[in-house]
Amino acid sequence: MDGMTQMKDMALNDREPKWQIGRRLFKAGSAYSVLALFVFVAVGPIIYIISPAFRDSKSLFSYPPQWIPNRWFTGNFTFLFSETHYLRWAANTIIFATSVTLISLVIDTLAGYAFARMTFPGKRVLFSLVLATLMIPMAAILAPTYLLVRFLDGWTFGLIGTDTYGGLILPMTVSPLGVFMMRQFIETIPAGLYEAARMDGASEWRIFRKIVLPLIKPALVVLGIFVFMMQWANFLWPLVVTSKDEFRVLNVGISTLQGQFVTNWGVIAAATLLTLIPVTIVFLFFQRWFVQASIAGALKE
Amino acid sequence: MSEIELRQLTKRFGNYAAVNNVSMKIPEGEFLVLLGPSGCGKSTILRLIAGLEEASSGEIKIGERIVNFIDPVKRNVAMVFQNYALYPHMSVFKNVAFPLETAKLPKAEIEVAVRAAARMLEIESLLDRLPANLSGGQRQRVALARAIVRKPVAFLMDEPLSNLDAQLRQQTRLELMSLHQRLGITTLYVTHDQVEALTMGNRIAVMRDGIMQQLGSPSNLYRFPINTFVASFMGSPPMNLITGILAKISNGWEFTTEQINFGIDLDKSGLTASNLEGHHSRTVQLGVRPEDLFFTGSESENAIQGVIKFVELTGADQFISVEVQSQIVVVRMPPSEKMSVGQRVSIGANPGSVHMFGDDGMNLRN
Repeated sequence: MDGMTQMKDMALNDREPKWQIGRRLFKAGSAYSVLALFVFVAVGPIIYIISPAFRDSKSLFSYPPQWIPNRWFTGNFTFLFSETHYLRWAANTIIFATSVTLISLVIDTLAGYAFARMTFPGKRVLFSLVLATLMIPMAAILAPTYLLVRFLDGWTFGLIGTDTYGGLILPMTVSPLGVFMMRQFIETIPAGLYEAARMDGASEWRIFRKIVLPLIKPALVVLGIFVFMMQWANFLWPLVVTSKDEFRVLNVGISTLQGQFVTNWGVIAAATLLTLIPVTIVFLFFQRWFVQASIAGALKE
Repeated sequence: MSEIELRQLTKRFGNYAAVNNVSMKIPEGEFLVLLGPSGCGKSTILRLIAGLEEASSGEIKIGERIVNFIDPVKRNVAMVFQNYALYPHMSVFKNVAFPLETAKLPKAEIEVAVRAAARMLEIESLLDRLPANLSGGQRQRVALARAIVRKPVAFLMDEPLSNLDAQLRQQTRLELMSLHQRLGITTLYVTHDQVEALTMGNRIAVMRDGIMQQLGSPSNLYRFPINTFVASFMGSPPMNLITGILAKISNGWEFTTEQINFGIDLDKSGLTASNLEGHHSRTVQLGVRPEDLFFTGSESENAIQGVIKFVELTGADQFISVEVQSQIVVVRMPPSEKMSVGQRVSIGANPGSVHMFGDDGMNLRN
């Protein structure tokens, strides 16, 4: 937008020598072409799946390729809803991503508050341990976590185990990054506010509820969106811990559409497209907040 | 309203004593100022009384209760913080109401109390605003309203004026004093500004390195500082201190340096021979306030010779810095006197205003 007005200004400014206008136009033009290239790389694959989602399997590999379908075919979507458990997978994904987000927000803010404000023996050691777990990749703890969940199957009356929501959700709610992030954010709240609240008679819980939570709202939004999008796209853990179709999430479900010999790419494209929509809406809806919050830390104080 | 008493109060942070064996009694309704440079322990005393820090030893008594191990809120004292510590996400009304809501008072009662406090501090029109939309002076008033609304037995104020600009500071100072007159609440006021201390305090306690140096009325501290620290901390510019030797001579006592022979008038200065006896031919410091010095003829008795180095006009006064044997002596003059840099002058001192400090810095009087 800024570049556009700049270009208009340049065109209107007739006192400027012509060669200089040309040079500026060239500069702006090359900047836009570089940006356009990046936009193409980022958005290209998403645009690429729109077309096959609306074509039948015969026209998918026709030559010359149809970039815009000759006939808008909706059979892929009907197939998805009638022949697969797409709706069940979608419901599972919503339950999974939302639960993980809510539970980890609660854990992370409470743990972050404790690490930021309270004094207790072993605080530094514990916090170091939390940070240390940041460095362990998911793949490394995949097998032990699976074994633990399978072991718990017999002890938790079926609440946690393979092919349960508990087993799907709970292991993903542990996020050292979230604890660390909330601690950092809570530490930026001036100590004077806690002391004033203490003088005003507020209990630790009331300070947390009435002073800390409202002040870290931007951080909660950022962390919430972050976790939600991560879990919406999570593939590995749901794949490992579920084997029954009724507990599958979208990503895992879609991957089962890929057959050993025959794969209906149109159906997969349609499913992928549908899966992208909710998370895109969530992001667009919160985008303004997201940007605000991520620069808030840098600008405040 | 209650009196506050500190008994041998000590607070250690590791090996460092931030407050060292401080005892004082603050009678009900008094405005007591804790004065000292930064790091002298004055704020720590306030925080100990508030309950934000725990004493290492000693007792804190508010009214009849020893409160060392009582929760901050149950001590029923209110604190005004240097940066006001207003809750940024709450309106002014919510800020003032917070302590009452915490105490679970009925809504109607809170409303009445908040309005009353707001009226007293003239912030009624600001009740819906957020702290971010207030000026420094307005924030200050909100902080005060939040302190008042609880009807505390004592106010603790931690440099409440230091974030205001000079003009507003003077105005707010007067408002704080009139508030104290109206409410009569025991107030402990921490500052490093000696002008604030002198103008506001019923009494002043001067602190240094965790130790209370002197406790007394402003005029008492100003006229009879107990040691060189208090002497040079109070007053702007501070008391002149000249280092020399105390000597007993045939007809009395004399303060001497290479160029100065200053006879001490025992009667007028309030010093006695027994005060001085132990300091014969030892290093002492002669202390005189700038307003007790004047220019005189070079032949007059006890005159000190020097050369003018600087002339500073402050409006109502001018301060003349005179170099005497590589030490600077400041003399206060009415601005009508024309003085110029480089001029040779003789300084005389009002004999009744002369202080003698021993080599340990203590005033030799007493």
